Amino acid sequence: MRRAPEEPAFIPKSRDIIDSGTSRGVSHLILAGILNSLIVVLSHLLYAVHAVAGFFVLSFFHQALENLFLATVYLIMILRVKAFPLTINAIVWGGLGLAMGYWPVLPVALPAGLAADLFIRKAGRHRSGVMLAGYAFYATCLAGANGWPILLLKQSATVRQTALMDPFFAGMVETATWPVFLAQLAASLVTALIGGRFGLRLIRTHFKPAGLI
Amino acid sequence: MKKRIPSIDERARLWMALSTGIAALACIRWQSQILILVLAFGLCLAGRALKGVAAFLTGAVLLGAGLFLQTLETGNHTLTGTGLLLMAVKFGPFILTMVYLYNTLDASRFLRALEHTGVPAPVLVPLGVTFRFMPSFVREFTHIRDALAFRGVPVTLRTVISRPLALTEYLLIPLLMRALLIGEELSRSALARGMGAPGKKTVFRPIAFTLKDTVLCLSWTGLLVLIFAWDRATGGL
Repeated sequence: MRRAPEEPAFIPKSRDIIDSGTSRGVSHLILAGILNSLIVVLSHLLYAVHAVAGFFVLSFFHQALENLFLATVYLIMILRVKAFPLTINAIVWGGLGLAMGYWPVLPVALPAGLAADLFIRKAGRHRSGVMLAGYAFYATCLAGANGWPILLLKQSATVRQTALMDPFFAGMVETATWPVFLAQLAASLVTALIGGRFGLRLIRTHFKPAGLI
Repeated sequence: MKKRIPSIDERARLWMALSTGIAALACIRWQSQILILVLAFGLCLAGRALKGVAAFLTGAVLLGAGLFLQTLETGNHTLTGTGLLLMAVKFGPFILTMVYLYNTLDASRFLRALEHTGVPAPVLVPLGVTFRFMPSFVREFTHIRDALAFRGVPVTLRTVISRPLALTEYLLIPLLMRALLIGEELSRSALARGMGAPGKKTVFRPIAFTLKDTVLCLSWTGLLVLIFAWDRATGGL
């Protein structure tokens, strides 16, 4: 995937639509929204599957599991959405976290998404290695975004008191050590690369022949 | 047709919902969290989100009953049981407020209201489309799962473990194809309605953050701040 494919005309040449001043940028934002919606739904479905199955240890490595299965969606988003796709994804995940009152995701995910998008833009969006590297970096930062406050704020009064009140939370705090955190990041990076390779194969096999990429 | 509390600005609704979830997470004592849970119930009842409330109560009763039976059987409640109940109390307000928003928030008015506030389109459009299409993709997923079951590939834990790559391909490809096609259709529809056109959009019903909305938001926030302060003052920290 070294050459940017020629973009077909999105809408028929219509004097009325052209005169209204519309642009293609909106279509990219809408596609970004739809693919993000798919990511959020599949992520929660995956979580429900391993939670119901009783694989509680996977809760700590949920991002790694997600990378294996959802890398394809992220790569398609990078290929099809020109306007900072990973930054938009970071806003969506950060917004969802904020809606739950969990603020730590946005401060990490947003800069990571922006950095990954700028790197991909600079180095060439249609180069497989560049896409993989950008996605793997972003996915690893997402894994860190969920876990960093419990690790770094472990000694804070709020976390200690909450742990006293809630045995489940106490278990989480006890498990949040540097080796576990680093293992989460490493697992996320490795699975992002593996999932990304698998995703590129799927894109080459199905989406390129269909003319969608 | 969605039932809604008449004439409350969508931004006020969103603020009440979000602040409830944030307060529940910030409070430490379970007594404060129960209070916030009661507030969240009140919000849902005011928004007439009765089905959601009924579903939540059913889940809570089942969880509580399970814990009670465990206590009877073993003589003490297990760590997992207590932990699950406390998690339900902690995240319950968030779930209930999402139910409230689902039942009462008018998505197009909300997006227009944010646009009038000055939120840029690159943030507004993807967020709006994301939340709008989540239920659609859940439906698409169930259709694809049923189609796979007809073809002899049931989506079960056994298949997930034994054939993960194949199952990922069978599930992801149709979902992604649908997503891309829906994206194209929606974009054409949006562009035909002048979504990307320059200039301020007009609305049929005026959008304004009135004095009533301000008083409601301030009162709600004040109540949550009081609960938080009580939480901290009575041993939360």
